[in-house]
Amino acid sequence: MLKLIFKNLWNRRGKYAWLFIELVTITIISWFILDDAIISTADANLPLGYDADRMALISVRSYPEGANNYNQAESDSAKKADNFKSLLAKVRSYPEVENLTYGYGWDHMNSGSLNISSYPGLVKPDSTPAHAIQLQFIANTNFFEAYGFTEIEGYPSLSELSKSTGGHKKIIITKDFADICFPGENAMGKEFVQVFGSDTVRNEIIGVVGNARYQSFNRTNVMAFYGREQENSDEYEIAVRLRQGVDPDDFCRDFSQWAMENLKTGNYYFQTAQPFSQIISGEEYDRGISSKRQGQWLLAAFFLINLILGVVGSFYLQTQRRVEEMGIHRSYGALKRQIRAMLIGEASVLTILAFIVGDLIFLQIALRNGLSEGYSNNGMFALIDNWTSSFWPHFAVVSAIIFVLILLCVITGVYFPARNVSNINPIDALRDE
Amino acid sequence: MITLKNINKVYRTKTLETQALENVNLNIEKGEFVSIMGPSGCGKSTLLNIIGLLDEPTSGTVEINGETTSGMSDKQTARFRNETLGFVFQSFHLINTLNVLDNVMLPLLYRKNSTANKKELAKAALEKVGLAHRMDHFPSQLSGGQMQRVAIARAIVGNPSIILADEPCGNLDSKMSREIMDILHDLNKNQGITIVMVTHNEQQARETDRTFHFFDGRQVN
Repeated sequence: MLKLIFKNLWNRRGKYAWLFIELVTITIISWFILDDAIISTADANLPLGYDADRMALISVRSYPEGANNYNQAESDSAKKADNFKSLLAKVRSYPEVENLTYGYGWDHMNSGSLNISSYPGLVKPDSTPAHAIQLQFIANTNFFEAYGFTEIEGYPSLSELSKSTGGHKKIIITKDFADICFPGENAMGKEFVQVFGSDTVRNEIIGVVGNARYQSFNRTNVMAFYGREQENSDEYEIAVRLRQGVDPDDFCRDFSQWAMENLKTGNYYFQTAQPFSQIISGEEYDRGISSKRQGQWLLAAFFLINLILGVVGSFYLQTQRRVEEMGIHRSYGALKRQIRAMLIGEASVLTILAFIVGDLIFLQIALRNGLSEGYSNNGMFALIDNWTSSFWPHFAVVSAIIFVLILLCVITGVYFPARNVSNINPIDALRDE
Repeated sequence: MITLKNINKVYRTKTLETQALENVNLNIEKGEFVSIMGPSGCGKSTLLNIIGLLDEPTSGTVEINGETTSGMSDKQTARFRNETLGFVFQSFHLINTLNVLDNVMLPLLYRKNSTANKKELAKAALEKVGLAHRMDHFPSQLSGGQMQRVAIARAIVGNPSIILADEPCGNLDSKMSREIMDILHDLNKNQGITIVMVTHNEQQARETDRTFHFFDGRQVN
């Protein structure tokens, strides 16, 4: 059957030529439409490195002076500290809370604020500066445990690292950052140097944690954390780690009702509770990333549906011209499914050949212009060992996805005319000259 | 070998009912060369299609080589056609995009022979009809007689026991018709293939062992 398929395609090359060219063109256009969509979706599905699906963020604020509920007696720093401590204890004792950490304002994972710091390497003085997203945490607040970062063998435990108060001078970096800057070595005790005007700050690495992505849509994986002592604040963001099996949406709804009545302590009051998933999706929405991604896939879906319809039309015409031929096959013992298999086989082989040509043509374009980079901040290290960042694995994976999509569309499109022609009575087919 | 009992074929549309065959009873022995004659529309081709399992009778039974064909599944019918029957059509019905050898190999596609074996069988069939030297040619490069000879080679490549020929000389001149008839007679006499031929030509009908006459769907002899 395969030999017959190749013979049919070769002997009909004149008739199939335009269809071949169409499929080559579709392959090239598919790259432009689908590469971005695939990469941004792949990036969004990279592991975050922390347990976002078990976390919620509780916003606590303090009444400003002059507000109706403001209590002057509760405003001194000692009282504020005690009140916040008491508030935390209430949150900690809430049944569905397993652990928690807290920070000021934007100091939580996936916040809208981006603090990118440059870490020129002392170890490799001729290397380009290393950039990382910087996040400060309040020492002794179970920061790494509450988020569920991964401990790395050979480095201090998460609980030890959560106690760090060294500020910028003592940083904890993610594993990929360590691997990029100090390949094959233990990063403990290594230093970066930061220059701020006339100030020089030496950043000693005191620990390494598992890779984490600060922003859900950003492929960049390198982070540097530094702990500092707690100071009183009028704004806190409490990141709670929920017990296994607790739905964050349900938690936020129930907790909010409870908190409105029970969490007010001194001048501190409960403001909002949001699941991390909502924070993530909100951030993506605000930046237009989720709508861009949706738009890309809608465009891709529109393109592929039209491909199916186009293939149906093209192959309908082709198969209608071959009704007599199929009647001959049927009269000599071909089953309906064998007729369908032959026609679908021809379409598939044509698609494979056209795809190879189209892919090779696009390769020339890609070698000149590059492939989709997804969303990553300028100057940031791309995630190493990730197929999206390396040219050939990226090209191969997206090629494979595009190939499968095009082939499925073509097979779907040719199935209907193939089924029609295979169902024709041989007598009617042979009468059809 | 071929037994038709009380065969009726009625074509029904929403408004019309046409009796193509009425109460046909036939018996064709193994190795016979029979012809079917009658005016246009008398049901000759319908009868041939029913014997060839390309069509089903409305009622009645068809028995070929001792096997009753009614109730066969599509798969069984296809296999039976492939292994037992060979067709020769008035319009040759060769596939223009395949060369002569590939056209003749067509029935073997649906059998489990090796490719080398299929080629050997196809070449042998072409030699029997005297066209082995044209096996790389395409149908468009052949005369009418040559195309019909290729069609006959295709019909016999699978070693069928029965050939059904629907006006095999209908589109040929007298010289080519003679060639075709000679081949059919040779297949019948020397290889014992049973041949059922529909024809309008009385001379050709006289050359056969028996002739069945049909008129308005009924057998008249």
